[in-house]
Amino acid sequence: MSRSIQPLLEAYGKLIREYVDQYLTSQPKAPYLHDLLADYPRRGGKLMRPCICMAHARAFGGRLEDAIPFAAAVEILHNALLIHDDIQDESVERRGLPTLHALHGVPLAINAGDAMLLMAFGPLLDNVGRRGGALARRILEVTRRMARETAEGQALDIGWRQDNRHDITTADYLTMVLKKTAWMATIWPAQVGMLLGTHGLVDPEAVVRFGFFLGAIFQIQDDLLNFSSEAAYGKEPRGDLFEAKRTLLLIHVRSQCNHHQRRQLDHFMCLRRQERTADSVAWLADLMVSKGSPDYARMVAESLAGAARHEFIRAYGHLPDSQDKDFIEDLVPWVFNRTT
Amino acid sequence: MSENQTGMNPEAAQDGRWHRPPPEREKPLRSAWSDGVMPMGGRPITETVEDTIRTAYRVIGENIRQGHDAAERFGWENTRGATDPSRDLGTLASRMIQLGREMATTYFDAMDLLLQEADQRRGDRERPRGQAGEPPPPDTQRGRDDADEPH
Repeated sequence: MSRSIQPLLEAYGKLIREYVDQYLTSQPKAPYLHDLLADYPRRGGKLMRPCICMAHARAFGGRLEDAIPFAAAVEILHNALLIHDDIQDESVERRGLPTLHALHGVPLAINAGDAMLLMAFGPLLDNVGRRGGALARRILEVTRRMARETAEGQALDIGWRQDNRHDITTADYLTMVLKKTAWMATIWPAQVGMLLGTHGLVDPEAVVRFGFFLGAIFQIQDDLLNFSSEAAYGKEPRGDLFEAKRTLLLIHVRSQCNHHQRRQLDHFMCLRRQERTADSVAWLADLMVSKGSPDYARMVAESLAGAARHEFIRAYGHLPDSQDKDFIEDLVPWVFNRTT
Repeated sequence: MSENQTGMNPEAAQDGRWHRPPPEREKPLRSAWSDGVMPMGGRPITETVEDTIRTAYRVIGENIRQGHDAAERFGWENTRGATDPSRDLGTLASRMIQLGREMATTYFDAMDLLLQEADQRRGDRERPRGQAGEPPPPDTQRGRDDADEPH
């Protein structure tokens, strides 16, 4: 089912990686900054986001070479947000190596993240103007929406933990996932690609529902991978539990606890990160397994995969058959079954 | 294949036919999600799935509605600031048409003035041949258009 994924990830990924590396390191070597900029991109992420952008541009009739700078902008912005995200979450591992702030300290990591955030708009602005005012305006509109939604989602994720919120529902979680994950990871890259491919002649809202379901499956699978702590995952094992992230597993287990377990769980959630021990995290993991929380999360992801397939037909059914269209469709089972 | 491997009841084989041992369960074991009987969080699977999808569509529907509202507000504010390029093009086209009309009117007015001036000069050239205080020839007073008309 996912046969079209790997060839395109490799082919498009190579082009994007070269462009990003050249763009981030083309300036004269600036001390305390130069090496930090290309660090995360060189660690070899999946490049799912920029490949979504390129596949959409191609599936909607655009040229591959025209889409590369825009896809590179998507990847640079994603890496910039990862740097800040790791600091906010106090994460210690990213793509199998220590996080940037763990290596260089928080101030330099924030600075590198800021630089990348602004540099990400370089390829976007350099190329969007040549294509006419109407297209430029539409691409900037969807970019502005993505920036707003992503910031709102991140604020929910951090704020819930900061305020020790225990009453988060599945609807709250899906809202947070839509904003924090889906807009940046799936909806925005798809919108930029389809606007490029059609010279701005389509409604970018057409892909929002599909992008949301795809992004939600991606996030739930991420929660499950973090929980299972397989070696290939590349992040701190069970880091979400150490951070008491309001994941679907945590929401579910709390709803299934008896009174005594719930009191213990609420106490765990109120602790600061450094106060949560490996033993207490192991206790929570066992509790989640005993209450069927991972199974529940898998089932929700599977349900959302069905909805994503339904929305795919609505949004892309009219497009002519192509490798890029297959890639977009196959993303659904791929994000659901991924191991990294 | 041995009896142990097949799980057949050796006693029942006396009639010459193999029989399976009676099942321990009283009803079929159904664990697939689609059967809707496996409890998940105390509720059947189908109910949980439906709830999730309903919630997800509600979440995305609300987000899209908010996006529409924001776009409408921004679009209205935008008309007072930076305008839509296509709208700009329409305005420019209207201005060009208006300028064209004004150019045409100005052109005909200018031609009219030039012709009047030419008539005036012709009259001035003819005047020294007549006497002082004589009225000018009638055709130069009335203009070109009615010059051949009867008085």
